[in-house]
Amino acid sequence: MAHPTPKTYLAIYGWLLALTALEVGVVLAGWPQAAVVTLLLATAAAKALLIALFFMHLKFEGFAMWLLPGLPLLIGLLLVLALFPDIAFHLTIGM
Amino acid sequence: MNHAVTVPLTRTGIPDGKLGMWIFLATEIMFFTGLIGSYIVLRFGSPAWPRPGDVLNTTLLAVNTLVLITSSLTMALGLDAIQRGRARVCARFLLLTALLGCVFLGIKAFDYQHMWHRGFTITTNLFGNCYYLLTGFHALHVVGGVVLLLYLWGLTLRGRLTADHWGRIEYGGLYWHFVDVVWVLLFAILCLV
Repeated sequence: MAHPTPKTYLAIYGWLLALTALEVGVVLAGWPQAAVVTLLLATAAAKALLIALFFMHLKFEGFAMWLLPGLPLLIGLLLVLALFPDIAFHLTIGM
Repeated sequence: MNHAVTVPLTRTGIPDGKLGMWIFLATEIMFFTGLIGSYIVLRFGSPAWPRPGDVLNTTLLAVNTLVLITSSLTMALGLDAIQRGRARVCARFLLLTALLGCVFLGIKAFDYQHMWHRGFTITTNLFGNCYYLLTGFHALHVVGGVVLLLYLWGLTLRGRLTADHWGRIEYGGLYWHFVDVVWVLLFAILCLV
């Protein structure tokens, strides 16, 4: 399958720079913490996805290749999410 | 550019080297997801947590992010060059990528020294513990990446990697981009949020 051209790599690089500038700008703007956290997580995820899709060529790979990074990531995230009720309980008891 | 022409196919349809690298990266994903997940659990489970912006040098860390993102671009351009048969251009991009990795490590070392002198050490509090542990493990991965890049640079200069044999550069690139992805996430979650 055709890989990206240098032009595509430069375009992705431009997006990565713009998203990094947005991250720093959001922090400096002094917005409410909830909005900052949401925006930062969204931009970080977008940057990671752009690198994985274009620089690591995952966009051009088959489903089997997606499973290799996807499954451990999913299991790790589920593990973290599974601990959140415990955190909420702990914080509620502490209040 | 056709992937199948230059790399011999296997029973899985995926070159062995690429499959091996992705399996290795899967273990690395579990490693860093565990570390970052632990940080998130500790942070949300703690009633009080310092604001990263008050403790860390965010400007320095943002510069480091730019350095690592730029190194990902040079790595990708290096792979593109070798696929087009331009081995010397590829070698230059590989060396540039390794140098950018060294710049990242230099800035990190300066950051650690600066933080340490300001009294923010690994034993200061839970945040200090997490910061040095996460960024330290990441920096060790960058060191490994620089060594790998210099090895690939040497192979390319000696004519061992060509337009017909560029698989190892692609696999090395996968590792380097992964290190970049981890930093992108660490920068947002650990240094900004």
